[in-house]
Amino acid sequence: MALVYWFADGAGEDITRGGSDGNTPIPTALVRWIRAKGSPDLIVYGGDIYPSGSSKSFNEFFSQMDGDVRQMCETPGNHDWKDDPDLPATGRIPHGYDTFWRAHPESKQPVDVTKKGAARYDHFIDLDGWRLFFVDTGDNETAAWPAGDASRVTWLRTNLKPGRANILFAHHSRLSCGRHGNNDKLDALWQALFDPDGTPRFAFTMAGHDHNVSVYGPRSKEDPEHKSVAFAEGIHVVVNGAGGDGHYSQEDALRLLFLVRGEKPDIFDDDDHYFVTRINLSSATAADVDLLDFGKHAAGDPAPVPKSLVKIRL
Amino acid sequence: MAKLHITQDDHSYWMLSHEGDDGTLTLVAHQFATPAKPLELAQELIAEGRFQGPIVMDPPRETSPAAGVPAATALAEYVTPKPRKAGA
Repeated sequence: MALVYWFADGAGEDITRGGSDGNTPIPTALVRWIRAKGSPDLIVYGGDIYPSGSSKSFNEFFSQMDGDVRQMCETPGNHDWKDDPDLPATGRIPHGYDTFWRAHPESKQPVDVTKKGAARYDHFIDLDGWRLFFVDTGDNETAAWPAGDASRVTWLRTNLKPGRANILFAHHSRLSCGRHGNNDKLDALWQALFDPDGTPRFAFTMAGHDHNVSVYGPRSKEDPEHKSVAFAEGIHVVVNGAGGDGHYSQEDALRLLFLVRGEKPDIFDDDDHYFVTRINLSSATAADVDLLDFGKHAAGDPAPVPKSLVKIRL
Repeated sequence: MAKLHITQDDHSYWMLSHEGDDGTLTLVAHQFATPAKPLELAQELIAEGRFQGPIVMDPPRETSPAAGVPAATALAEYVTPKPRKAGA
């Protein structure tokens, strides 16, 4: 059995309030609980070190993680990609991100310095029969995955485990509900999660970006925005960007004004509390995914949300 | 005229509210420690063409050193704020 935790969109500068004393940054409160009571095998920070992924911001992140990233990796977010020099040796990269994680080889986040651009951060981790893929979509608005690098598609497809004991982690989600909403720029990545005949090769995707929570039933290769399908035909989509930096509304009234976009989740949604996603890889063929509700301030132990539970059985 | 308002709630968190042409207020985003994120959101909505109108922003509320950051007991009483107009 292995336990993986995810939180996103909530660390860096000006994230200062929360916890039982009112002065503990939310991401600090979350990671302290995970370490103290969650028995984690891996902690994934789903991206965005505010405001712009600079080394100064990453120093703040490191402090918020209590100076310990040994069990951690980070899928780069769009804010990490705001610090993006184009250098001859590396291509355009999220510089603060790259510098920070290269300086922490004790972490679970590799940087492949033989590659250029976003491909430097793509990697996978095998845990209890599952393969966890971590893909950089942080530069999605400027250069959507694979950002012109066909080798990234090849890398993903050739490293898949047989069947569908594969899980995708990225900052952006194909489906989402909130200020950002669905993301059709990610369709190339979504398509790559299926075989050409539509057979799903992943069990679920995990992402953030919208600062709220959305859990969707399995979605098909060709029509992910339409409706849920049988698990044999689709992939679950889990979005949790409620990791510390406020909340984006999912209010239906705002759809008429185009201020909320995206599919309304058919399993669970929330735009008011802070959450950690817990992924329990209980065997090589079974995984349970649920949301831990830390309330409005992460001031104590979280409450698991039964309605959010997705039971994956291969 | 539709507007986007950036204001502080009763616990000094910042939020973004939408005011419709008819004066209806709707909460767009809330519970930010600084106004930076709501301002970024408002500017993005305009840049994307999803909103046309002014952004109106309150100055930071004056707090005495004694008031400081609300204590945990005060934070425990925090509820999702009602949308709010700047300058109100």
